[in-house]
Amino acid sequence: MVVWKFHSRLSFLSLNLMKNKLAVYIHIPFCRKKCYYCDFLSFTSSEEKRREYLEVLVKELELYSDLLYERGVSSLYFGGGTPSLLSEKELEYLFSKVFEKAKPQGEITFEMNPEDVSPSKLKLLKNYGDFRISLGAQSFEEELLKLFGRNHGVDEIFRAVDTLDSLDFNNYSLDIIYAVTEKFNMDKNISAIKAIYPSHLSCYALELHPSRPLAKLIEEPNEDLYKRDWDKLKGSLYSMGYERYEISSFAREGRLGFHNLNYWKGGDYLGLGLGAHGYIHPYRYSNERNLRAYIERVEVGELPLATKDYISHQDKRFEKFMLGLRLVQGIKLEELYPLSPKEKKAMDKHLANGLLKVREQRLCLSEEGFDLINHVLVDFL
Amino acid sequence: MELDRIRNFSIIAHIDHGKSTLADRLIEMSGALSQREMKSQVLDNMDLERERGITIKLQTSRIYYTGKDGKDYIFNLIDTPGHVDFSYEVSRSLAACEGALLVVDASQGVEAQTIANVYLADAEGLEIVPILNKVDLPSARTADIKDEIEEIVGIEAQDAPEISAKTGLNIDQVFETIIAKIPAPTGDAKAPLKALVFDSFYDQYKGAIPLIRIFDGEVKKGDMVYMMASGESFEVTEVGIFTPVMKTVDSLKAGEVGYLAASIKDVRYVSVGETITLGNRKVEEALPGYKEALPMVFCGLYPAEGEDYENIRDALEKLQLNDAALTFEPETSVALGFGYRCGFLGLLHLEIIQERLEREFDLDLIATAPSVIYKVETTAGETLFIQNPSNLPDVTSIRNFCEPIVKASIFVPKDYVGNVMELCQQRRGEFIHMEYIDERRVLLDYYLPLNEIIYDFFDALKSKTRGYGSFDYEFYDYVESNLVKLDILINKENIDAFSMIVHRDKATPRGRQIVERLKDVIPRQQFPIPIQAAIGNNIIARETVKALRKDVLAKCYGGDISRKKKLLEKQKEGKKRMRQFGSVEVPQQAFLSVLKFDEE
Repeated sequence: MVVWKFHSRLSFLSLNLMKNKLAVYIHIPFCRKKCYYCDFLSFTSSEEKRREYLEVLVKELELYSDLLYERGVSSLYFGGGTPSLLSEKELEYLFSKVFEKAKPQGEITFEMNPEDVSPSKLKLLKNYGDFRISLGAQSFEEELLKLFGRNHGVDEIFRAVDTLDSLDFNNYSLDIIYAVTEKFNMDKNISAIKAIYPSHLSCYALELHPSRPLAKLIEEPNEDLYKRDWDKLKGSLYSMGYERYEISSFAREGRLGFHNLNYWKGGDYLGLGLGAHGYIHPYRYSNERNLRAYIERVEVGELPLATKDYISHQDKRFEKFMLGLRLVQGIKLEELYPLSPKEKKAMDKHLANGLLKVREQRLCLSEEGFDLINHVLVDFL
Repeated sequence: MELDRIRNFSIIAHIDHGKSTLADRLIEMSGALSQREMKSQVLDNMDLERERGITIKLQTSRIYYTGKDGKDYIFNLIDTPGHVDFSYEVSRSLAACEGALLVVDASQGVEAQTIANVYLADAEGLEIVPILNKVDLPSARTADIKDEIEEIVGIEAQDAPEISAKTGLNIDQVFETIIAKIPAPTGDAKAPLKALVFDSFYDQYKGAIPLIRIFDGEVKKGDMVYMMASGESFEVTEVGIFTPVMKTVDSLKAGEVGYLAASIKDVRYVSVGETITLGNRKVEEALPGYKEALPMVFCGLYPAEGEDYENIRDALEKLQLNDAALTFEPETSVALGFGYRCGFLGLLHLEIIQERLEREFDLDLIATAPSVIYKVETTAGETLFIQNPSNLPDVTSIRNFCEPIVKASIFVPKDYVGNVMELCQQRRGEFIHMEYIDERRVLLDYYLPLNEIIYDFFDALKSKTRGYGSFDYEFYDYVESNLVKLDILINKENIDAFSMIVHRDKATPRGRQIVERLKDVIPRQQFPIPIQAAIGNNIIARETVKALRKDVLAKCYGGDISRKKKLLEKQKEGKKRMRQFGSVEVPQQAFLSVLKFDEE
């Protein structure tokens, strides 16, 4: 088998074979049209290009066969881009291969845009397992969806939700973007969330990238706007009974996003596909971002890594704060001791000013601290 | 070499009139350096000088030339700096020469700065040789400019070589004119050694190295030399010349220019202006004519990190080796801790030193607001000279508060006279005199308070005259003035490093400007931060830095941790140059922003 030949290159991955199961992220970089705010790696595609990409993606997965076999897979996440734009035939191909090599024991998440949610696609998913859907709703303001350059309107979000409900997909998450302009408050989002009552929500402030068209259409949102929209949204979610378990994530009835939780807990994960990121302790790596280079390297049986960074003890320490503090439950104090002088100083400073607190032997951010997480983290760096 | 075959000269020119290019050409023509060794503008060898296009440090070079008379000559070129802040350095190099080339741009004509240096050269008894440069440019007005030189400078210019230093046109005429016009040095090689230190620099291996002009006698390896001002003796380990790279020679004799090395550890023993003689055969009298470098502008320099205190001293000492005009002494600030009060010739000099400290010595510095020296007579009858606003006595005990006034000469094309008069008015100037130099240009004389020009007068003048204005100034007198101490309070705490002495009429606008600028550069923190400007207990301006509300949370998409980490690292980088005052962090940039004042 081809993989053996390259086993030595994989040795960095094999060091931790005995550790926990792997989370696996699979990147589908295609979109029908790039949204006006989006700065992630995505582009349009032809059927030909998608076929070639999926084949190479499967080959990349096969390069990791041994690792996947030995460690097993905890969660699986199909992200993008827009994985839901893949045709049913393309999905069949992808799933059949992925589930053969990387069948997860736990959560499987599939990102969908509202316009792609159809009974037939959902039925196809059901054949492969119990899927959690991450629905790219983004906003319930019609005008904003246009401004964002989304391919769907508000009606299509509701239609998608109805379709999900009718096929018994009861674990789905909505993505919401807040803090766009003064003009739009959170009212429409809040009433829609009340009506839909999804099991999970991911809420992100708009990041305006200077190179993207939206930057020319609206002014850079300011902190007051972030605060206004966020406090409104957060307050409403609390009163609806959502539990905030991570800085930007809310869930009800314990239906957390486990795949992402693994990132924040510092667990290992494999990233597959163009520009995907992975972490197999002690290395963080990222794949080629150039499609040609990615394809060519995988075709000759090479791992298509663009970067591979050794995470030193010190890096790991900082990551622990950076990632662990995103969680509402924070970090177990015992995992933090002994503190370096810098960490001690930062901790004392922010415990004194109330941005950090200790609760049940865990270090965590206060409600105010979550708003100023960067301000806190910088002192640990 | 016989004395009559030696010529010692410097070049006087306005910035951009081609001094360095001409120097390059002369060195190149003499064959002292191969083309490969010849970097463009070899004499401007500090990065900073190259970037700013000006000469700050003196360089010297020996040039060999065979004249049309068939005789071999040695030319010693001593380069001069070209900015108003460095007129002292010019005077040092001039004292080592018998003549000076006055290089004038054939399109632009004579500038104020140039005239000031011509006067300096004249005072040293130098022969002034005019040279017209850039005659190949279409805009050249060679004949007019020759008349202008005669009219303004008062020297014969009709025979001046018309050259292009850039293309090499008529450079040989420059050599021949030097031979014909500039007197050979006089001196007696048999007499006791009398040598003048006109510059020095520090060499890691050889110690402090003085650049010297020998007036009488001879110096060679093994001699015991005696420094007449410092009273120290050293054994010479090496003598040499610059070609312009250092080259050892057996001896330096009367009339010659070169350097000596004598394992001189402490730079204070070879300060500029020193006369060197032999220990066992001393001259009676030291050489006259050197002006002390008098710092005009002072500011505190403090380490951003306390542990750099010692390193700053070492660095300042090293810079002082090459820069006699730089002074410093330890001081303490309530806000900034331990640092140094440093004296500079002007604001450009201050900026250059600060930049060199940061670049060449890798130091993070905080500079306090610059100040001039104020004269205070107290009710107790004492006279105090105040260079640090923090040392100002209580207002009730001040009887007389005086500020230094300079007499400034400003040259400006007539179309900009209105702009310049307005500028001088804004800077509390007192008009003395106006004179049409020719149909295009005007000389304006003003009395101006020094503290109005140290910040950015030169920049403002340039921008109000599209770069055509030039000026020079000299100290005039201390004059009583309605001065107040302006304090800046951050979060109710007086930050002494920001304090400054200003005229009462300027206090409110300046105070407002400072608090507005500080508001923009002080990062928001968890609580609102009041920033106030005050005279005594009287608040005259106030702004508030609003409290932090909410950070933008970058999406860690698909487990891309590195992106987030990079953002935080960038934020951290910004915080590195912060200074903690009580609970408020103030970036170094804040201190700089206080320095710059413009009218707009």
